[in-house]
Amino acid sequence: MTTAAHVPSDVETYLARVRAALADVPAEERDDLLAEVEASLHETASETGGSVAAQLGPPEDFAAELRSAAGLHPSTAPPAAGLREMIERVASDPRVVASARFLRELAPIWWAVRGYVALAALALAAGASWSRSHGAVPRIGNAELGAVAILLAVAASIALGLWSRRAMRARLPLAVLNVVLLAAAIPVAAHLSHRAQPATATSIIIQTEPVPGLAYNGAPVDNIYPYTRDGRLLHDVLLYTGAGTPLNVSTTAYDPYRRILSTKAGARVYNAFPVRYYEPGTRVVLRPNAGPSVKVPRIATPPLPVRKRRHRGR
Amino acid sequence: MDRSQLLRGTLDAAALAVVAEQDGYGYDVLRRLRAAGLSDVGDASVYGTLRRLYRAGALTSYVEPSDEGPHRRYYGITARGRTQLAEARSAWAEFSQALSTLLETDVEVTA
Repeated sequence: MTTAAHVPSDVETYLARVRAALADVPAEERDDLLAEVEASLHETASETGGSVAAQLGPPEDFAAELRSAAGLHPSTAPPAAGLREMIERVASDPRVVASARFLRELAPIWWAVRGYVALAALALAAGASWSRSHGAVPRIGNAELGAVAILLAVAASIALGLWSRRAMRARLPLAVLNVVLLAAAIPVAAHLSHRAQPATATSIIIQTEPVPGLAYNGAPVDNIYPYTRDGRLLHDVLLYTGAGTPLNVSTTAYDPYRRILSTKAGARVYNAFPVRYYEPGTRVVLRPNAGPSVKVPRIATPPLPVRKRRHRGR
Repeated sequence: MDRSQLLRGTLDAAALAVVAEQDGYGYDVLRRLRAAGLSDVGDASVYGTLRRLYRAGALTSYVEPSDEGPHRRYYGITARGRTQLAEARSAWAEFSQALSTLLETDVEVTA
């Protein structure tokens, strides 16, 4: 016998179809089983000299017999099937069908929830204030109108849900809406859990003693160095707030070395910047141009068209 | 009565008996079963049965190179297989005797 050389090619096709019919059998077991079958098919073919299909019947029947004799369970879920078949198979699984029916019965609860979520999400987005006593109720005008709006939104959502059960065309847009509202439920839930905290916890007012003098981001400022747009350090610049209050620095402690401006009437002026200090024992500021190492950027904005006024001394 | 139906419950014992007599590979076991008179035993049934008996530990297996085509997987009987065969033998003897008496004819299938 010179088997391998003149084995009818239908052994390969037959084997391939048997393999396909056993697609759900664990790979290792299937391979062993098919190795057994392959060797035997070659012998069958070489001994009978004819087609194995004619000898053994349809490969699918052969596979079924093999499966049952080997004690492997009949195929219920071939994994080699396409994604579409897989989805259909999952969708037709009795457990999935039962869960889907159960969820369908629970759907009205979601309808009510999504109505509220839609309204609450809109209120959050619009930055509406919320009822102080009932944290879940946004104020639309007032809390009573907010409560009415919630009831209307819930009723509308339930009506939409009931209508959608009959309207097949609305399925896709409604699915999109549900996904969006499901996502919106996250910030709404976060807001609710925040509001649900005891009122005393949220109404604690942290009072701190105001820091005397100037401060920037909480850090005290003991000097200010004003520069012109062309990078020139200015001297004795008087700074005021918008309310006209002088920006006085360190008025509490007396510093003998600080150079303090005074008015012609003799009043001290503490809001002149930069603040300078005399050399100890003298009335001389040693380096009046000393400043922080800043590099004034090149300014592209045109200078303000400030009309120069003639200085009128008092 | 359909012989294949009778075979179904007794193929384990038949295959064990064949392998107990002498180690054999799939096609060889099939041929010997047929030669023994089980002409309508299905190819796939025999291969499947051998694999199942092997998985259950009643058979051991080893591969032998063959000059003709693919390597052959030989099956030999294990101690567990012999126990199973002995049990099947006594069960069959009891059963066939009872049925023979009942039917007052000889049952055609013999193991």
